Amino acid sequence: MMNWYFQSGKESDVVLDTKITISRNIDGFPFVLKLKDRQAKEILDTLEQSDVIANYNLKMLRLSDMDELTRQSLVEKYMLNSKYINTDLQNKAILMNEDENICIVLNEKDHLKIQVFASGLELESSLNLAMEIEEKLDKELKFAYNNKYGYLTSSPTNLGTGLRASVIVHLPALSKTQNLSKILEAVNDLGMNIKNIYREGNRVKGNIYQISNKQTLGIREKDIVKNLKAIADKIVEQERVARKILSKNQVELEDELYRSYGVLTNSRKVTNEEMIQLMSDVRLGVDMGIIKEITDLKVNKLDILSRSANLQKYFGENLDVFDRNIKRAELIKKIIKE
Amino acid sequence: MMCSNCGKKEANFMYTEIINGVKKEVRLCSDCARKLGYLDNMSFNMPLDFSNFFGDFLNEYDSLMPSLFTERTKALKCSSCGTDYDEFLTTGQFGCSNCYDVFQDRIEPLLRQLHGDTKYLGKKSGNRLSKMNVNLEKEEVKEDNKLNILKRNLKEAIKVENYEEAAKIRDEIKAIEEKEKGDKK
Repeated sequence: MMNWYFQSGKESDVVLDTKITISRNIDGFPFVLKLKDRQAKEILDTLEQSDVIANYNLKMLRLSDMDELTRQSLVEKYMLNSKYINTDLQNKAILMNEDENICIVLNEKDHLKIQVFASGLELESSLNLAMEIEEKLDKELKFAYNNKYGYLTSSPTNLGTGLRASVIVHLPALSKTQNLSKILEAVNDLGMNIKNIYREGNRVKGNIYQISNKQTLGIREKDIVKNLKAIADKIVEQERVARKILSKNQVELEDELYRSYGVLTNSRKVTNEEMIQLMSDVRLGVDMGIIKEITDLKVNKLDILSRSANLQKYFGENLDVFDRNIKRAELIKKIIKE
Repeated sequence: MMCSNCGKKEANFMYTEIINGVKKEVRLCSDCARKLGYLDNMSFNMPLDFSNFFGDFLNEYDSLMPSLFTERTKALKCSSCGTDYDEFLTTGQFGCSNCYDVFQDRIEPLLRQLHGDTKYLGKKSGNRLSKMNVNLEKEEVKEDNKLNILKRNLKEAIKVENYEEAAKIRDEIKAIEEKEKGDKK
């Protein structure tokens, strides 16, 4: 099997990936903020010996046993929250399988953050898998729950279902045709959070956005996912319309996208920021069948491996910014040749 | 909305300033925002600090309440983990399950603000959602549930003064209720 993030999924010309997160706390323990070291350790020990964890082939990795680069690379893969990797690492851990599509974070903000990832638009199956794991763990651990509010989380923002569903979308054509703000406003009005993934100062880079539900209480799990699915479908449709409009100026578009491809593949050093910007054009070119020199799987691979910490892990050495830019250019050439 | 300074570009920056109690909202495009110095001392990438958000929201709410009420909540403290109200305002997080009982009255308005609704509709503890078939295509809405949804929609419609829609929903509700009455007879 391949790591989930190198694969290509449904509607992957627009939806890069799907993530389902379920936050839970174990009944009878205080939340993380008030958790004693001995109790935090007890939670790790219990999960390490759990049959459920063993059945899903999840391995425990303690944050305190990892080097900083590894922790940072997990943040770049959206598995860990950057807020928690620089403070107290004691008794924090992740449980992860080989494909890395299941990743449970322990003692971060809540006792358990069950995360399921998938390439492309895969909301239903991801929710089903996450819920299946949650239900099995609930039997073993018994999660904090009351009849009024449902599942209790340390922050009221996740209260109730504890469920956060999100999709990451690539919207270059909506952006090039100046229609992006309209779409994003509409999404916001429908009660969803939108976050741009890359920004430098106040400039948005890479045309990549994360859309997730705001509401976790007063709504059923399946409606959270259903609403997000409806919005994602609409966005996919609109982005494709915008791409059709762009392709009417075939020569202009091909020229623009191939120029980016040229810079990306011929440079001797590539900064992180350039990479993000150029990759948006290259991805669009590949998804529209214009750029044929590289496959979408290679685009995904480049996207992950070029991120600062993952790049250093790939080459197996600590690199400063200058060397990273050189190695990034090397990586691009290497993967295209593969 | 267009930038209130140059009037040419789309405004994507909103800044609220309160001077001598007068609230003023400025909507600018990012270029003007930088030119006018609004961006110099703040990062655009500022993550929303939820703890402050809670604090601001609840403090504002408190100011509307009789002081006796606020005095009483300030003294509230969770007997199980020791979290008090101030601590919650600073961290935005509770210390244990029991906190939700202790601070229940206080967080209702916050929950309504965050989620729009405070009634739990998710799966029951121990129930299995995965067995409940999350297949989105084949979902059926039960009549009983539908009534509740309609009633909620009615309230929403009245709130936003969409009376046309409200009338439509009202008729739908009537139809279902009459049908139910008929069934009982």
